[in-house]
Amino acid sequence: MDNQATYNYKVVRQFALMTVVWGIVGMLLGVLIASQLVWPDLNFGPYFHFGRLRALHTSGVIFAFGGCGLIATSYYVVQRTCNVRLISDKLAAFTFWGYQAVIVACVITYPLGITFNKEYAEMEWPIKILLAIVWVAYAIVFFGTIAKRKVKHIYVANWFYGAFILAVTLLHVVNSAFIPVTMWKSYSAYAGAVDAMVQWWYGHNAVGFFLTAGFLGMMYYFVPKQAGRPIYSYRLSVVHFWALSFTYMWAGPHHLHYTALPDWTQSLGMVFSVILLAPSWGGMINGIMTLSGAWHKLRTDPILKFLITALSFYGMSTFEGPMMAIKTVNALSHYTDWTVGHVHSGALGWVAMITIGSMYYLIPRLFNRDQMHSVKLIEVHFWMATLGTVLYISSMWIAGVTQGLMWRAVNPDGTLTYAFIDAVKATHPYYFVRALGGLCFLGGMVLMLYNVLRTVTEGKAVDARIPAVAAHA
Amino acid sequence: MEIQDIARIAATVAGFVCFLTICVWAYSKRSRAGFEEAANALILDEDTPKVGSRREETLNIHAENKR
Repeated sequence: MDNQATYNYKVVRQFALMTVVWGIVGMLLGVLIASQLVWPDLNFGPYFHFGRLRALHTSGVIFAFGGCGLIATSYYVVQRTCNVRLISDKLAAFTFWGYQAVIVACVITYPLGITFNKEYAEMEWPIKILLAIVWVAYAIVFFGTIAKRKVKHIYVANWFYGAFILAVTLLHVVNSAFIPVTMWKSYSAYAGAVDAMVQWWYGHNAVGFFLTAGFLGMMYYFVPKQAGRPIYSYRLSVVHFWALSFTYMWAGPHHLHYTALPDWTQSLGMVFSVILLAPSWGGMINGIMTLSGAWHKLRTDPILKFLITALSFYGMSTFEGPMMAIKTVNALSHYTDWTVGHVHSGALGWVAMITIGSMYYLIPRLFNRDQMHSVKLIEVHFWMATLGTVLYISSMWIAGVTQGLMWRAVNPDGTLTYAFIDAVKATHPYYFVRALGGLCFLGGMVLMLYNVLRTVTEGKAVDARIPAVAAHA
Repeated sequence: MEIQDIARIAATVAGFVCFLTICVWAYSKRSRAGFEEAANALILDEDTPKVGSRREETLNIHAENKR
């Protein structure tokens, strides 16, 4: 079966199609829980309650949608840039089926209320162990393929993917340390403020290495490919990589401002978060400037629109993030919906858009077509996604600042001006706008599914031949 | 000052020096040619299927897969 004359596109196809499927599932859950906040009557029984479905939504979009997208593109990029087939087809197939098994296990256990009670890491210990095994297999396939490459230089996208794989291994293992009680219940091995710090070291580095480094790997391959021009500055991409790797690990404490965490740790987290602005913007500028001299392509190419808009949202949210990490700003923004808006500026604007753009590039090539079934539909999808994101984040900004100001307002005699329910009432209309934005974004994904299915049926699943190494000896 | 503190300071300074070294290396004249080659190689790799000759190529690859 292991045919060395072709690339292994099969596993890429599998992960790419599941990216679209899980994207719709995860975002549908998002729209559902957003609606539950607008109309609380939609909370049916314990299994479909907001508290349980929210974890399924976050894990669904981050790890199922984002994860499948990252694995699909990393398998494609590592093969194309190293000029070799994946090191093992069997192990690659195991990563696919194993990863899907982890997702399905989460889909079953989360609504049942089986939870480890750590944000973005709710899976119970048997699933955690399975994920660790699958992840190690993924690391072996990825780094094994790099090891047998035919090209001397390791292209920068692979560095980002590599950092993402290594860091996630470390984060998952350390944060998952558990003491099992029964088959489906375990407790964290850490306690008190240490547990909180480990959790947010994990949580923020999931942002840093899963949602940032991984998707930057995508950016460094698909932006130059779709633009048809080499990256603006390769040396900047090298500095970008190391600057991100050196700083991200320290930013976690900004999630724990004004808590029991030692004050110096909070300040450390704040300072490193502000420093992060520099590498983030360096990377954004590097991606956007790749189009320099070819800006006209943005007018006609909806895939490029997705990729470049993704970078713009990346720039916006990596400016907003450091600002929110400053303690005085955080005193207003923390625990409000501003945080939710910020997260979605990154999640919808950056992560989802760069993934969608990359999938529109990738999927036709996996099915022996030169483009998607309908380019017009990509254009429609782009505008729906952009409008949905803008509705979502602007409504959450207003809602968040309103909440923050109402919570801190005090009368001259020192009593609170507003009861909590007053802030909830003030927020209600914005929750509706948020649900509308989410629905718009989801609608775009449904168009994408249709477009993908048409492309798949018109095309043919073919493994491309590996070209002879000639361009670079 | 305890040994632990000295070790922490040393690790921080070493990390920073390491990063500066990487910056100097990335922007040195010696790295330039290699980087440009790597950046261009990506664009030279033709990964779009040739739709005109799709049928023929598909048949070839299928024959190869069977072998």
